[in-house]
Amino acid sequence: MNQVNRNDRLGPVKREFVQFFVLLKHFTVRLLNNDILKYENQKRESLIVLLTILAVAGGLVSAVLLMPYVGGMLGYTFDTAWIEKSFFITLSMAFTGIISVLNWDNMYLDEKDYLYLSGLPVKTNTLYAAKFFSLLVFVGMISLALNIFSTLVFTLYLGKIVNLNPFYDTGVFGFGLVHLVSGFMANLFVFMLVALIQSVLMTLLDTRRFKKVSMVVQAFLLMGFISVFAWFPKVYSSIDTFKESVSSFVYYFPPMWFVGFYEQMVGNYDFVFKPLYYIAGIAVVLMCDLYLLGIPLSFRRFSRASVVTGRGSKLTGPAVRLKGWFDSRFLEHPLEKAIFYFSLTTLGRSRRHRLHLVVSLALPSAFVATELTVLALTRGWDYFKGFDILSAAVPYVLYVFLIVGFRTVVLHPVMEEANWIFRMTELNSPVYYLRGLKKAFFFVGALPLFVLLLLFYIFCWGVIPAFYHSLSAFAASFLLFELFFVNYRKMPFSSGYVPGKANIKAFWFLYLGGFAAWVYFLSKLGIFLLENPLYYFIYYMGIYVLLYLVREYRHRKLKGFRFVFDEEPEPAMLSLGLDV
Amino acid sequence: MCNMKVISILVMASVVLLAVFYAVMEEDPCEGHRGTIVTRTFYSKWVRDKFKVTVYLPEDYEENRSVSYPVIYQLDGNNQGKLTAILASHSRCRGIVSTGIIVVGIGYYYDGWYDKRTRDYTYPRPDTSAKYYMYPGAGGGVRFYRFLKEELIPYVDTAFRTDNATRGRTLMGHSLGGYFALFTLFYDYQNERNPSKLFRNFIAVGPALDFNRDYLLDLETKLVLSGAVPERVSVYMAMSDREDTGPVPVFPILIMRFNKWEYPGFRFLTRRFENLKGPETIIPGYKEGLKFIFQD
Repeated sequence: MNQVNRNDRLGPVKREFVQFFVLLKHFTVRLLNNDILKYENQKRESLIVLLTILAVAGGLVSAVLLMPYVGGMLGYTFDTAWIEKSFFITLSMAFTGIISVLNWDNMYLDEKDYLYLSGLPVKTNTLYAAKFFSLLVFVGMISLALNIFSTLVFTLYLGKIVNLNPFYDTGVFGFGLVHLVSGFMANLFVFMLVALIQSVLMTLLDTRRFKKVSMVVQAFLLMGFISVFAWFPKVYSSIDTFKESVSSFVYYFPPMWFVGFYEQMVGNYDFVFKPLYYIAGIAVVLMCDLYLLGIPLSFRRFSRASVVTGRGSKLTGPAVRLKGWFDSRFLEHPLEKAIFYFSLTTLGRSRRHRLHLVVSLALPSAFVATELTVLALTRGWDYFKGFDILSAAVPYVLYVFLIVGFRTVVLHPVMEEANWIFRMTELNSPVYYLRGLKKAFFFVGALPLFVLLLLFYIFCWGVIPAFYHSLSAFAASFLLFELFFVNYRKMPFSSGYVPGKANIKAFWFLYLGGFAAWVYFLSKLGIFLLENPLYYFIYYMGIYVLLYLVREYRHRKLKGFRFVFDEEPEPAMLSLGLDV
Repeated sequence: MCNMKVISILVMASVVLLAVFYAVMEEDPCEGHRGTIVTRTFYSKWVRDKFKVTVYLPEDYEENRSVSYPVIYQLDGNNQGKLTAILASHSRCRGIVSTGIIVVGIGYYYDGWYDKRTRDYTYPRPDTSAKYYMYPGAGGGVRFYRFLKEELIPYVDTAFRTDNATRGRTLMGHSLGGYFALFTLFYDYQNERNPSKLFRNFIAVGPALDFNRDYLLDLETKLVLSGAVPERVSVYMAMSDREDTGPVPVFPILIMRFNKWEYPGFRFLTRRFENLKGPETIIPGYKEGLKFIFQD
């Protein structure tokens, strides 16, 4: 029998350090294991690929930006290099912003951390410090990936020029270091800014409301960050003018703070950059302080709240009657009804699926909103009064992404091992399953979008043309939906999923071409119909005939089919072509 | 490099501000398990194998020599014995549980421990279509039960100051360990000629209820029909909402069955953790189970 002395072998300080590093690793891994990467079951590989793409993209963008400096083109000197830096830092911040939104749930200590750690002898300060440093490590990794090649490019292209200038007082190594530090600070600021928004929401809202509002805020933030890629290149050409005129834009545009920091650190003591240098430092320190203040608040709210919540509230009164009317009117068959509510409940409960849908919509929405805003600012609101192809194309772009997003999301199972219930109850009437799915899409996806577009076009064109155009686009989305689901043979959110079947790498040009052709053709047609409303009759007849043909084709092709629950990889993936 | 002074001042000021904030924050004074740990290799005649039994004594065990303590028998003791000891110690320090607890971790030596736990925590031998058929030694639960009853528990009761009268012994486990805890409850009260009332408290977290289809449900039915009366028994069951995905959802059925138990002094608590994967339920499940059993 062995007896161990009551004194622990580790001293208290060493024990705390051990705990700190264990927690640091745990939190960092959770930040890296993003929901977006989870589908492929190859998180580590996906992460390495993502970081490599970032590194290469950062290097390529830098090389293209700084090309004129290599040739010594007229007008490109050490004094103008800050413009390219502003471009690079802005895009880098926007990208980090997107990553931070995708990591929304891992920003602070969450319910899971509370469940694990509140019963263990871990000092709260150790816990909070580990969380904070995990964020620093994560942002550091992203910054390093974004800047590893760009640092080389910037140092090689600009370091020499910089050091020829007697007013600059940094060495080549120092220049590279400044590039890295500035990038890290800029990215850290964005990350902490998103965290600050979250902590404000957490303070103002209770847990239930916070969860609901979070998704909306994430969608808007995503759109905001994505839109930077659309509008900043347009502003970029004027940024020199802003600086020369000491425009307030320079002070209110955060990337410029870090450009100021960068320039001051490499020795460019331009009077415009000096205050920006201070602002950058203050902003980062302030954000970190606020974040550190927010950690205890986030953790303690779980001790107040009931940790395990119920399944949501039940409907009462008029809502029940409304639901009853809706069900009897639109969901006649019980299978339809079951799949309809199953789809809605899944989307409501699975953050992963919601996030995918939001991401697929945020991308086009951001670009559309940016383009429209730029048009409004450059050509005035009157521009939208006429029937223009750009404004007419909006619904077609959005519907395509909505349908693609929905199609992708339903393919991914929430919990594949639970699909036995569908296997056991599968009836020989798949049409009702598909109808339920289709109705879920139209009532929660297409219909709200139709209303939003209608409001937009009423503002632009007035009620009648707005209604005509929105409705025609809505009808086209029916056809597109049918086309996208023509070969669909899976139980939504339940069947197994093998990635790579779409083979985007090989067919991207076909997808892109198809998308461009669809949007262009229908936008042109839309304008033609607005100018010749009598042809709407033919248009709807055409849509109806095409819908009929597509459905007939599907019925014939999938006659008597069974749902696919276990998808097999492509034969080529199994044998790698070595079986010949 | 230009004006570093201001940046330095800012950084220093923020560090001071945060240091003050964190210093005034209420700190948790509780530490982990600091009591004596006794390890013994235990050869079982019933199982015909050796076990690594680790006993975690409460902090005040040596000082309060007149006090006896309740005992938790922790399955999968290699990695969960210490965890339970830490949870028990920490919970006591924070006033969540009202007494010191002796934790007996029943572990293995690391040569095929997974096969051994499958051998010991399961009963009966799984039929060919059952999930655990791939483990050839599975189904030795009754032998393991006899080891507990006739070898380990008598040793623990002799070697340590145990209090089995106030609250009774506790059997605690996760996954197959949770299955064995529930199996013991049903088996002990009906299959033994004289129900030994070996354990009164059962904590089953993420129990592998799909073992051998719905065998546990049959066992529960037999217990109820046998007329045995499990008195003053407490059961805590927890599960992640990502488990129990087999064709027969045993967890909710078992909950319904337990809710119908009207035996004297029977206490039952269940919990389904949302968004936690299987092993992630261990800490919150054990924590809550300890609170349920040992809080006054």
